[in-house]
Parts: sequence; C-alpha cells; structure tokens
Amino acid sequence: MSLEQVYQDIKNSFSSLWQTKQRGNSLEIITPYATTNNRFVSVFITKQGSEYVITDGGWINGGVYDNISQIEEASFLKILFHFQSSLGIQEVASNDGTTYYYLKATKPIDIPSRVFDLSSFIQNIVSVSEINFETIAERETKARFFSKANEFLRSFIQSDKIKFSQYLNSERKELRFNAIYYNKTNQFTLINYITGSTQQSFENNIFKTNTLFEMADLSVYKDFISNKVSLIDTNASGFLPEKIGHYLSHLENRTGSKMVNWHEKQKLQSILN
Amino acid sequence: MASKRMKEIRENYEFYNKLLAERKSVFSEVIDINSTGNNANTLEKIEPVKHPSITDDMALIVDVKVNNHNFFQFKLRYKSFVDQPFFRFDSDGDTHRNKVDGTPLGVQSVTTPHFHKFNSEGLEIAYKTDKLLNDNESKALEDINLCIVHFFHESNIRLNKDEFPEIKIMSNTLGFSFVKDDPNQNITFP
Repeated sequence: MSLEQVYQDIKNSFSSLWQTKQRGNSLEIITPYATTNNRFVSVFITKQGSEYVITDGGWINGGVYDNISQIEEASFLKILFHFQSSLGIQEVASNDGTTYYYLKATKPIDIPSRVFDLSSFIQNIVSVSEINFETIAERETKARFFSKANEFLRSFIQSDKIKFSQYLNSERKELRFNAIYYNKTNQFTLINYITGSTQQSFENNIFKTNTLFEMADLSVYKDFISNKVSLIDTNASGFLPEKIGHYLSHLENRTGSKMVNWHEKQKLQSILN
Repeated sequence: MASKRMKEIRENYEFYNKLLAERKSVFSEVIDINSTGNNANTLEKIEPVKHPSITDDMALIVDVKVNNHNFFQFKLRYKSFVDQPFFRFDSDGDTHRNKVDGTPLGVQSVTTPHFHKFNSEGLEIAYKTDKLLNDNESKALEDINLCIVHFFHESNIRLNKDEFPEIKIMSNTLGFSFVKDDPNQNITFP
C-alpha cells in the first residue's frame, strides 16, 4: 500500500466513525473522539429559537461514560477550569441538578467548530476523571455521600432555591460549598458535607469545612449568611466518633455552625425552614 | 476501568467463561425497583444469583435512570473474582470502542444497545447480538421486560426451571413511566 493509499484509508476510517441518532428534537452525533476508557464521545445538537445549542447531554455529570465525579478534587477542578475557559464552554444546571456543558452558534457555519471544541472538552474531562487523584475508596465514599445528600436536599427544597457545588463568590470562583440554600432575598445558608473513607480524610474534611466557614464569616457576604450547616456522614468508614469528636466540637464552637448527623438528617428540614 | 486489561480475567479465562456459560438461577419472581443506589440519578435493585460451581452468591444488578426508564442496564458481578461487573447490557448511552488490533478503526465503534463482556486478553469489548442488529427486534427490546429475557438467554440465567422474572419500576408510586430520549428537552440554555 502506498503512503497516499494509507492516508486515504486513515481518512476514510476516521470518517466512517461519525454516526447519528435522532432523539426527539435533538440529534445525537457520535464523534470519532474516544476517551481513555474506550468510549466514543457524543454531542447533542438542538435548535433553541434562532440559535443552535451543542451540549454534552448531561452525560459527563450523569456518569454515562462510567466516569466517577471528582468535582471535590482540587487538581481535577484546575484541569476542568482550564479546558472550560480555554474552549469557552458554558454550563447550566437542569431542574434535577444535572450539570450540562454546552456551546452555542448563531450561524450554521460555526457549528462544526463548536462540535470540534465540545468533543475535545468531553474527551479530555472524561479521560482525566479516570486518574486516581485520591484512592478509589475515597472517591467512591465522597461520590456516594454527595449524591445522597444532594438528593435529600432536593427532596424538600424548590430547585430554584438551592445550588450545589456553588461558590460564595462565583465570579472569582472563591469559597465553594457543597450546597447554598437561598432562604429569601439577600439571605442564604451555607451547607458543607463531611465524609471520608479513613479517619485522616474525615479529619481533613472537618478542617476544610472549618476554614471555609471562617473565611465566609470574614467575607463581604457575612451579613447575608443566616446559617452554616455541617452535614456529617455517620455511615462513612472514616467516621470514628471517639477519635474525631473533639474536631467536630471545635468546628461547631469556632464557627457557630449547626451539626446534622446523616442518621438524623430530617433535622435539616427544620433548620432550613 | 474499561481501558485497563483485567488481569484476573486474563489469567482465569476458563473460569470466566464458566461463570458466563453455566446455568445460573435467580429466585425473585418480581424484581421491584423503587430506590436509588449509589447514584441519585439511577434506580437500582440487586438480586442474588446462584451459580452451580461457586459457593457464594454473585449479583444481578438492574439499574434504571430516574428520568428515563428506557435507559437501563443489567449487570452480573462476582466480587470475589473481580470488583466490576463481568457481563453487562446497556439499553442506551455511550458508544463503546473495541480497541483490538486487527479490527479496522471504522468498525471498532459499537453503539447502544449492546452487551459488554471480556475477551481472553481481559479487555472489555461491546457486541450486538443478532436480535440487536435487527431494527424491529431491537425496538421491541426497548421494553425492559422483553429485554431481561434476552439478557437471561445470553448469560444463561433462569427463574425456576425455565422462567423469567418480571420487572416493576417505581411500583410504590403512581407508576408514571418517565421517558426522556432527548437529553436537551426542557432545558433552557442561557
């Protein structure tokens, strides 16, 4: 085979990987980009008014690529923000709390370029989520508890009154809490989850929550904070009350935050209402 | 993770095939799926499975997306052997890449619905059965209760002598069936 024939074969092989599936008013486009866990990236194109929206379908956040969320891991977040800002990727949360990553185009001529960028973003983020920044046990413990806690809060709070994984100062991406509950205009409650697969990681999460609450009380937003709540994962293997109890007391006394144990999670409803 | 080769499977491939091929049994006539598992967006039910050659149980995991009941997965897991499921069916979702030398790039892509199993190298590969390749039959298998029969045939599992369980989703509620084929539906992108 001549090198020119090799090139033609490469080009044809790549081209044949493009596929589509019609999904209601959206078109799923299966691209030739593959992740390190051998999944081809899909993007979803919809028309919204006069614009075209190209999205990830919520698949990154929904774990459809068998990726585990690492949204609490600082190194992962740096990578995520790098790709998001370099490629201009926007995000929005659906009513059920799923994050959608997307790009828009007003002219059809720009759509291929947007698909190129969004596919590259998905490929990189899903692949990077495979890296073990933390132990698998730690990742799974956090992912499980965060998912359960978010679901519980969503079960009794209107979706427009709560934001998950939210920065106190969203423009500067500073002081991120697991959830912020907007009680009423100019008043909100900061909620942080404390879990960990080992005693050490549990302690570290207590220290982190302590620092976040202290810094929030020193920020320009301090007058708007009506409550601070620490939600404690009493089922986590790192939850050893006799060893971490004094750290929890310190967090409570130092920051005035309210402690809610997961097995008494109903208390959250009365605190927030 | 799928990209990694599963050493346990590669080194015990005969045992792996035996896990798949021999007749296995489940005992619940109805599989009621009412609550979420480790992931809040997925309803999950785990059923014990008996295999004639092993003493402890393996597990049949049935996952259904909360907001799209047509998006479901059946998985077989035997934790004493490998942590992740060793056989699986995906009704919807992402397209798998079978990264195997000798397979042309153009045909490495396997869209859903598809099954997943491991090859003798311990690499997870996706495949479609003849039924899944036939458009009409594949359409019929979007029904979870027809599809579990296909999954049971493919992995040789039965209830009693030659029966199959019935799956009920959210039977503890009013029983609305949520279908959201278009992921962008009802979302405003600012």
